Amino acid sequence: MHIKNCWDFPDLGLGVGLRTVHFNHILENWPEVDWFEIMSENFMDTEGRPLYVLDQIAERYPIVMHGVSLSIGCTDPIDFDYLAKLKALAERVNAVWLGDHVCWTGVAGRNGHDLYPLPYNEETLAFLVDRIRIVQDFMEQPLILENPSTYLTFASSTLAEEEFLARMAEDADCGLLLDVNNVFVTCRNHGLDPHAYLAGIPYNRVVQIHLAGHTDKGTHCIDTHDCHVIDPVWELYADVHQRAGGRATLLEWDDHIPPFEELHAEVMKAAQFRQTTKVRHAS
Amino acid sequence: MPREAPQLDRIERWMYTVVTHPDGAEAKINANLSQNDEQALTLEQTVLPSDELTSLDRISIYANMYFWRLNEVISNEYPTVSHVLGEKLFNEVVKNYVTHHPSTYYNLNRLSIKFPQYLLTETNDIPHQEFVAAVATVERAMEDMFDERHVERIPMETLQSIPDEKWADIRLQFNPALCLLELDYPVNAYMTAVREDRHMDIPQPEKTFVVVYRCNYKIWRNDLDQGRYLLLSRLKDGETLGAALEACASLPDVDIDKLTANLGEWFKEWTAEEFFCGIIT
Repeated sequence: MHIKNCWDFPDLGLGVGLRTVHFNHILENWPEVDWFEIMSENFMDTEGRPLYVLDQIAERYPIVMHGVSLSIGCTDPIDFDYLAKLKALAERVNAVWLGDHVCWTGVAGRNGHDLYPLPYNEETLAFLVDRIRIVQDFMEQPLILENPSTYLTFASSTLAEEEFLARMAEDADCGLLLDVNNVFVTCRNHGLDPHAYLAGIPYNRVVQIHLAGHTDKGTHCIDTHDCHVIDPVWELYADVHQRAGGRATLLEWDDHIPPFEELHAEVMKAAQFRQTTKVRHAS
Repeated sequence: MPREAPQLDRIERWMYTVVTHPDGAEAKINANLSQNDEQALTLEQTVLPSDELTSLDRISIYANMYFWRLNEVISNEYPTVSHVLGEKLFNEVVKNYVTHHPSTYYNLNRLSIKFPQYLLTETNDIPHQEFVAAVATVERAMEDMFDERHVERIPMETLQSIPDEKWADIRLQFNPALCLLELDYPVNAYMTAVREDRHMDIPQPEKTFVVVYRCNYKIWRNDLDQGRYLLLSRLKDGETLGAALEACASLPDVDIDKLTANLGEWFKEWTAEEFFCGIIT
């Protein structure tokens, strides 16, 4: 028996991130892909070709929105202008759900355009839960928030990341996007056991899974999204599938992007894990 | 309102200033120490080392990525400026730009809005400064037109249906994704040469006119002669065709008979190129 997510969001199957370099291929071939994920901000503040292409794609495929600028952990006031544009785009493309990251991207009115880490402690948790609830009320739907790749640990952190995410999801009543590559990268950078991390995740809150490649610098890993998924990350994916069952799974590839067929073939590797992994039954 | 998080706020403000410091994270941390700022967080108080990296190594990962990422965005938007300045100087200019004009918007497409003006008025020691700023103006316009509002163009039949006697009184509404530029250098030909990987010397100053527009979701940039530039500018400002033609006639180098004779062809071309989205008769 698979663990359902709280909202009965569907298992969309295997999807890929929609990238500009593949627009022509998609419009000419309408490939057999289960679904597409878009980076929300790439289609906001523009009425150029990307939006024109997206409108056509959204007529034929399920679209999930995944942003990088919500900055849910930022101590600045919530940007409701941004949220209004996000909501309008979600309605336009009939987004199945929308997500972002557990992070902050800037402060004091300035934006670093990065996914900066949060100290995992009670103060941050309470603050974040309040912010998520406010945003969800405005958006009129749950947020699906992703565990980020992190490269440092704050001295003021008192909670393990997976514990922080579990409590955040429960208290804010939000969903989780479990990026298994980020689990690998974060655990590698902090000397943690990724399988123990996965054991602490509440799978009834997990709506979506991300896969990606990363770069191993020897002393640490960087989440570069520029290469194939490595075998240890596939093993984590299999572990997640055992624990949770089918979840909408997406491959991210953002630099040195291969031809669409190669990208699609990479995410299709996940099919074998979804078919062959014996799913744990609830006791 | 969310509950307050004073410790989180302090950490975020500290980390942001450290990872965006133009001389690197270490320089900012040392500056805090030398200023003897007791309120400032210290690195060791804030970031733990890992088995393999020091606290400074770890926060420097974010600092290194900050300038690298913003540089990548701006170099993609200004390929010709980057070509003229060369990689090293361009990177230096961009670092100074984002330090003086940090992003205050959630979307990266507004990051470099002030870049052309910055190149012209806020930088020193840039070779061919005015030319570079003119190139940047065109490259910025191309970015802006890419994202501009979409409106349906008017078809040729609409123009053809206007009775001859009413043409002088018509006013045209322009495609918002169109801008007219008056420049002090012939940058258009140079940009084309760079794009085609052909060598071209930096040109001498010369008054030129360029239209940048989006047609069929592609961005185009074309040179205009002064007569067509003035005609389009006046029309874009809301003048009637008759008034715009009168203004053109006042130009010393414009042959008004030739201009009038060419009008039909120009309007056909401009309509096909999606210049107009409405007509007021």
